This record gives sequence, C-alpha cells and structure tokens, in this order.
Amino acid sequence: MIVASNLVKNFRWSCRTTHALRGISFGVPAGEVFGLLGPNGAGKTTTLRIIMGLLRPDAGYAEIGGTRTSPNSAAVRSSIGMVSTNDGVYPWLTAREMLMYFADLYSVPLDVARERLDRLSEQLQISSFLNQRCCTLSTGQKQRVILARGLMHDPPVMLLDEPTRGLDVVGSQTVFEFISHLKQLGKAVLLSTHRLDEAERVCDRFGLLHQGELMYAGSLEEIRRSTGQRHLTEMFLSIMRGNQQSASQEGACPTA
Amino acid sequence: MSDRITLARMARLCLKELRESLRDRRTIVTLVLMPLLVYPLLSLVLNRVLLSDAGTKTGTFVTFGIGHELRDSPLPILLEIGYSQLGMRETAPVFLEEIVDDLRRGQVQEASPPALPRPQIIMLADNGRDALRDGTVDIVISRQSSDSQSDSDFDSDAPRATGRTSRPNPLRPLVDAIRANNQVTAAVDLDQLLDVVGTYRVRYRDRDAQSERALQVLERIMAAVNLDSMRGIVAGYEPPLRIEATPVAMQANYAELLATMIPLVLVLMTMAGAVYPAIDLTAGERERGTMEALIVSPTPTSVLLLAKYSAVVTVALLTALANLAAMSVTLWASGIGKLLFGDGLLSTGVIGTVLALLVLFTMFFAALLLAVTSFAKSFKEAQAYLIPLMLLALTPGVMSLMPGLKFTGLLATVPLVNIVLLARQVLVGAAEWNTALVAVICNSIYALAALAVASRLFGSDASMQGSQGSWRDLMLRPLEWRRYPSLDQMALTMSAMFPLYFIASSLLPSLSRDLSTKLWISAGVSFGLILGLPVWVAWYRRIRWDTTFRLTAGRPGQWPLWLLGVVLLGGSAWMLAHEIFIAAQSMGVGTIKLEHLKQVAEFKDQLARLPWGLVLFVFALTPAVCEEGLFRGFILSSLHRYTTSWAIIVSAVLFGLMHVLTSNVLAVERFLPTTFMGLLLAWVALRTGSLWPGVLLHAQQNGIQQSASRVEAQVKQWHILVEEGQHLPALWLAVGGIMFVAGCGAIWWGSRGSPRVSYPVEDVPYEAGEHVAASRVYNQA
Repeated sequence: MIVASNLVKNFRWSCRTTHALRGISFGVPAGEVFGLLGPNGAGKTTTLRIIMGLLRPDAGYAEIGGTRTSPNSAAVRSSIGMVSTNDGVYPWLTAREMLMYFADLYSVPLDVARERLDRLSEQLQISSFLNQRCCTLSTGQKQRVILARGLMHDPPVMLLDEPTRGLDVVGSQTVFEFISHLKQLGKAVLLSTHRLDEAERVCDRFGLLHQGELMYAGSLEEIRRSTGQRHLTEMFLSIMRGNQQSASQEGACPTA
Repeated sequence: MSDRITLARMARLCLKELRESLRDRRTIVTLVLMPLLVYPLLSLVLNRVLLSDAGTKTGTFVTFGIGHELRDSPLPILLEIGYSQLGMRETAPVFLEEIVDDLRRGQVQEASPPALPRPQIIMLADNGRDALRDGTVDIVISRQSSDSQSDSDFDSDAPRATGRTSRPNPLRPLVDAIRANNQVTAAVDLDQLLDVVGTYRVRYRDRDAQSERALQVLERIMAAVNLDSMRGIVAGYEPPLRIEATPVAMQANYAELLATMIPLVLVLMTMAGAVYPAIDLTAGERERGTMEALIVSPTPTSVLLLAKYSAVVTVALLTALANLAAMSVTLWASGIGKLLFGDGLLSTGVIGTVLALLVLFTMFFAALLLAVTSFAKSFKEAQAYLIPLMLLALTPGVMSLMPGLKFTGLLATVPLVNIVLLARQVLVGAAEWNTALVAVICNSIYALAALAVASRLFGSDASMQGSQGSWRDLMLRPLEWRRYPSLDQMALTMSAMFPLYFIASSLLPSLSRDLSTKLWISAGVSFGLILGLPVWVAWYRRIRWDTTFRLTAGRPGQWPLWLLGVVLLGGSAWMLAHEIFIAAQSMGVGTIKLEHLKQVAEFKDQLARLPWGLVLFVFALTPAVCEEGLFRGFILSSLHRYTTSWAIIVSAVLFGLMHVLTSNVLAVERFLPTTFMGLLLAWVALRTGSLWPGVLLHAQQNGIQQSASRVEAQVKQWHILVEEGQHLPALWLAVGGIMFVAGCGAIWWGSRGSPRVSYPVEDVPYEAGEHVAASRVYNQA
C-alpha cells in the first residue's frame, strides 16, 4: 500500500547542506502497522512529508496504492489520513463542527460524513462531548477528536507522527486501541515514533532510522537476529554506539 | 467523493471560518464595543470643541465685508444707524417669526428685543471671496451688478435732479429725521446717504452658522432702516434698501476636516476589524496546530485561502457597517452632522457610496493582511509584522487630512489615500468619476495581487523546511521550468505594471517639450513596462517564453491564409469597432468632453508635422508588439486553467480596461470597441497558436487609424470619409461584414493542424532535459 523507494532528501541552507534522507526504502502492505523508529532528527518527519506529497524528494519516489506522490496529487492526499503530535483543534468550533469541516475538506458527501461521524464517535467514545466547543475539552478528549478527524474520509493509509507525545497513560492507551482498530479495518499504518517501548507493543514491522539511513527493517524477530539484541532500545543504543565508533575511526584516518 | 468545489461546499468552508471568527470574543469587542464607545466619545469631544468655538464667535459680533466697488459708499454709516435702531424698542421692527415663536412658547416678550451681535465692518480690497472662505468676514456685501435702479431712477440729491422725471428718494425722510435728531456728527454729509438706495448682493457661506447669523443681522438692520423710511412715506412705499442673498458653496474648515476624518476613521476602524480575524485564521492555524491538517487535505490552498479571505472581508465589512451606523447615528443624534454639513450629508446615497468604497478598501486590505499574516508562525509574529504595516497605512491616511490636498490621478494610484480622498469627495459632493475609476481599478488590482501573494505564502513553509521559511522564499527562483505563468504571477505583474505605467504616462508631458522626444520616451516606456516586465517575470520565474508568448512561427504553408485573414480582418474590424463606438455613444456611455476633442485635434495636427515612420513606429508597431505580448501572450497564458471562452473574455476585458485609462483623458467609449478587438485578437492568438498574426493584425489596425487621421482633411474633400460620430454607409458595413467573416474563415482554415491551444490546460513542470522535447510536443499538440 505504501512504498518508499530509495528516498533521498537534502536541505540546502546558505552555508551548509543537511542530508535528511540518504536513500531509504521500505513498504507497508494493507493491514500492517509499520513503525518508523528513530531519535529526533533521524528523518522520520521528512519521510512522512514526502509520502504525503508535501515535499518532493531529490531522488527516489514514494507511492500510495500504486500512485506516485507529488505536491499536486489530490488523489494521493485523499488516500491518506494524518495524525501528528502537533495537531490541534479549533477552540471556537464544536467537535462535531470541526469533524464535519474536515469531511468537507476531503469532499465527503454530507450524509456519508454524518453516518461516519456517528460510527466514529461510538468507537472513539466522543459522543458525550461532540457538541461541546473544543476549547472546553480535556487533552485526552481533544486527542480523540484529532484521531477521529484522521478517519473522517476513511483513508486506506494512516500516517501517525508521534501520536502519543505529551499524553498520559490513559491518553496513550486510547491511541494504542485506535491503532489496533485501524489494523482490524485493514488499513496500512505508518507509525513514526521515538518511543521504542510503545512501538514494540503495536507494530508488526519496524524500520530503524538513524541520521537519514534505514539501519534495519523487518519484524522484531528479524531485527533481533540481525543485531543480537533483545529489545528495541538496546538495538538502538548499539546502532548509535556503532555509528559513533565508525565516525571516530573515520576521523582518525587522516592522522593514522 | 467528488473533488469539485461546488458553491454549497465553498459556502460551508466560508461559514466555518466566519463561525470561528465571530464566536471569538476578541472579534466581538472590535465589532460591537468599539463603535458603541468610540463615536459617542468622539462626538462629545467634537461637540465641546464646536460649542466652545461657537461661543467665542457668535453672540458678540459678526463681520460684514464691504466689496471694493462700495469703498466710497456711505453704506457702513447707514448700517450703524440701522443697528442702533434695533436697540430701541420704539423704533425696532417687529419680526413675525419671533412673535410666532413666543406664542408657541406661550409667552409674549415684553422686554426689549434680544440683543443681536454687533456688526464689525471691514472694507475689502477685492470681491471678498478669499476673506469669506478663510472666515475673516462672515458675509460680503457688494453692489448688485444688474441693479438698474441704484442711482438712476431715484432723486439721489435734489439739487442734482435736473429736469429728469424721478420719484422722491425713499431715504429722504430718514435722512431728514437723522438730521433733525442730530444722530451723527456734522462732519458727515448726510445727503450722501441718499446714494445708498439700491439692491445689494450678499454672499454668505453655505451651511455655516456664523455666516447665516451675520446675514440675519444684516436683514434686520435693513428691515429697521426700511421701516424707519416707510414711516416717513405715505404712499408709493418702496423699500430703499434691498438685498439678494447668495449662498456660496464653500466648505467651512470644520466641514472639510470632518469630511476627511469620517472616511479616515471608518477606514481605520475597518482595518482594526479585519486585523484580528486575519491573524486568527492564518497564523492562528499554525499556533493551534491545525495548519498541517489543512494543507495535507486535497482541497487546494487557494480555495482554503479564499474561504478565509471571505471571512475576513465579511467581518471587516460588518465592522465597517457597525461603525458607519454608529457614526451616522451619533452625527444625527448629536446634531453635529447638521450643524456642519446641513441636511445633505447623511443621505442614504452618500452613506451607500461610502459603504461601497469601504467594501473596495476592505477587499484590498483583507488580502494584504492575509498576505502578511500567512507568513507568520504565531500570533506574536503576526502582530510584529502588522505594526509596521499599520503605521505604513496610517501615514497616507494622515497625509490625506492635509488641507488643500487634491485628488489627482497620481494619488488615485496610492492605496488607502485614494479611498480616503475619494470618500472625501463623495461627502462634499465633488466626486470626479475618472479619478474615481482609476482608484477603483487600482484597488481591485492591488487586492488581486495581495491575494495572489497570500495564496503563495499560505501554508508554504508549513510544508517546506519544517516551518523555517523566510521572505526570501518568495523571491527565490524556482528550480523547475513551466509552460505558463500562474494567475497570481499575472496579478502581481499587473499590479506592478499598471500603477507604474499610469505614473509614467502622467509624467510624460513634463519630461520634454519636444513631441518626437516624448513619443520616443513613450515607446520606450511601453517596451520597458508593458512588454519588458512580463518578459522579465517569465525569465525570473522560469516560465518558458516560447509557450507563454506563443513564439511559434507556424508552418510556411499556413502563412498565405493567415496573411489573407489578417488583411481582411484589418480592413473590416475597424468598421465594426467604429459602429460599436457610435452605439456606445448613442447609449449615453461617453465621457470625452469638447476640450478633449480639441486636444486630440491639436495633437493630430502636431503628429502630421512629424515623420510618418516615427508615427507608425510609436502608434502602430510598438503597441502591436507590446500589447500582444502582454495580453495575448502573458495574460492569456496565465488563464490556461479556465475554459477557452473565459480566457478570451477575461483577457479582452482587461485589454479594454487598459485602453479606457489613458494618461489624462478617461474615455469610457473606448471600452467596448477595444474589448471587441481584444476578443478578436485573443481568438486569433489561440486559433493560430502564434503571436505573430495578432501582431500584424494589431499593427495594421492601428496603422489604418493613424493613416486615416493623417489624410483625413484631404480625403474629406473628396467626400469619401464620413464625419466623426456618424454611422458608416450601409454599403461599407455590408462589405466590411463580408470581409470580416471571410477573414475569420481564412484564419480558421489556415490554422488546421496548427498547434491550436484549447483551454483548460494543466501546466506540468518540465523535467531536466525535457525542454526541447516538450517544445516539440507542444508544437505538435
């Protein structure tokens, strides 16, 4: 469903160039949750932006359902639901008004949108505050409204960018349940996070991203075999240590 | 799911933005509370100022100016005598309206008549218009020029009345009484007073309380003098002194100041009303974290922005309406409006016109605000951007308060100033609609340009470089080449070109006295601005010249038919254009005045003395190349997303509008024929896929006009040409019609298999190395 093939992206500033992605490739079939893991600055958000068609890669391509993503591709955008850590709500609109607005943005017919809203409000337990203005909602309630927003147009692909950041245990649990629900619905889910423990709980496969490179990709068992480490956290630490060592060796070369 | 932007969907998107703005209490504060508080407070202050000022001026004295032709007249003495009569109960005249007023109040005054302001008399050196305007005098008394009775019929002086049939001077009894009572010093020759008899013209400031008061005092003095005279005449009473009062339409200082202040305050309040929603709906989206969700939706950014723009305009207009209502009510209730302007100011028509101007201003300013705030990432940042903008907007606003600032063509291109000055003209009833039209068109173009910038900025850095964009992003050259300019690039180019061209055209007459130099400069300006600017924009924004300006030469086999078509159309289109011009004039669409026609005739004479080649270069070739490049090249290409018909119509209307506004003469009649030519030329450009047949047709058309005016006098002698403003002979029209159809047919037939462009066309960027191949594809499309 989601294909990323040899994605390269560099950001050029006046005096330097940042290599955000150095040729990463992975695929996410329908009904699978793929965890794109990595520390801050690893290139997770850039990957998601390319898949959403907000950024054009310098090389390589991304596809959603066989269609290449590009900044002008409305068809690709209609197939994607996006929930990000920075997402907010409209304080002066009710939750219902906001969700119906997003349905309109995705050209969902009114009657379909109403029906979908009823179903989602039941699944995400937002019925009780659907007619409340968003400024009166708690953080957890807002998060559930945001999750519902991502599904209002019933996309086959969901991109989740660190959806649990800033949430308490209960809020995080809601997100996990939501991801399981997406999996049941047969959607391809790309979860970007640096919370490795959480990823272990919900993801089917993982991609370990570090400094714009995909170090490992596969199921937990496959990565365990490759790295010899049991937990994702340990795997990551070993990758980072390995990188530091190779960097220091490279640095030592000229004087050797 | 249909991705079409239907009207209902657009309305729902707008409604969301509006709902969001209007539910916010900060919007409500600006919208409702400010007008409710500001205007009553302003009126209190103004009332205080006016009353204190009025207190110092009225009640103590009024000033009469005596015109220079009455310098030697003893009128001042008689006025003094009349004023003294008013103070005496026995001799003071009884005024009917005072009795009626007293009866209404249920009391009859037994006391002495109310003290009137004492007149001060100033002898003027001229007709007193300036003194009246600046308030040095309150009224100006002069001799009625058509007064035939002044000295001739009456026996002004008994010894001098020799053998002429004359009636007794009606002032004689009064003069005798004065002499008997010894009221004036012996030094005065009382018989001189007899010369005062006659009709006087009094000019006073229209709608000015002090001036009207002075007139009233004069009337009473006259009444007192007349009454005294009447007492001495038994029969054949005729008042010795008569006045004819003429209001002079000149605004008092207050009225002029208020006429400027009202639109300025309204504009400022409208700005204040638009600021908060503009920030909230753009920078607010980022601050709330809703921007990215908006941008990743398949709804185009331009539609999102249009919905936001509608909301900002609506809120700003509601603010304007609330302010206008509050101001009207305050002016009406406090009586300030009537005091300063009389009854005419607050008519529905004037309020409606001012509101229409506010709509225009709001459409511009809302777009400007969105362009600025779209770039900000937070409320604070947006406010930081807006403070300089508001200061910048205040400067021309305050400048418009300057007394004597005239609303010229140049100022009509300056945003904000043009609206304030135009509204001032409307309020004082002196609007000139040619400058008004320039202001309206300029504002519309600026609004379009600002909206174009806003749509490029809105959401741009949310998607690019993780919200780290800068203003430099706007100026960066894109990496990809494109075939056509976008609508916003066209709007921006036009917004820069139109005022620059207008200013250059206005300055042209002052640059040189030599006509041929002026013509060369004019051609240079055309090449530099009309053609040069779009060419530069296309290069800078990496828009291909060949596709944008239709630089295809066509196949050699097509040219014979194209040339035939051009010759037939060139020979006939002017007839149709002429008939449309005449029809427009007969419908009353016409602003060209007689003096303009005289100027044109003089200009034609001057041109006739210049080399023929220069005239053809400046008036035929230059506009043909430059205007075809702009209108049938850059503008028509920018409309590639619309249907062919719409693209042709819009480019033709813009072509027509551009021709309406020449440097000094506004010629509305020119709109319809030039729009017709614009339709024809756009069709030719799209049908042939090449700019060149249109250039030839345009040059031929202009060349025929110039040739006709050059040989006009000679041809008229042969009775071939018809007079200006008359229909062409039916035979000519019939032949012209056939030629026109045949010309269109030749173009149509000759363009078979040529790269005809059928809009809408999706513009896709060129990939590297695709340039040549794409050009070939285009040529074979």
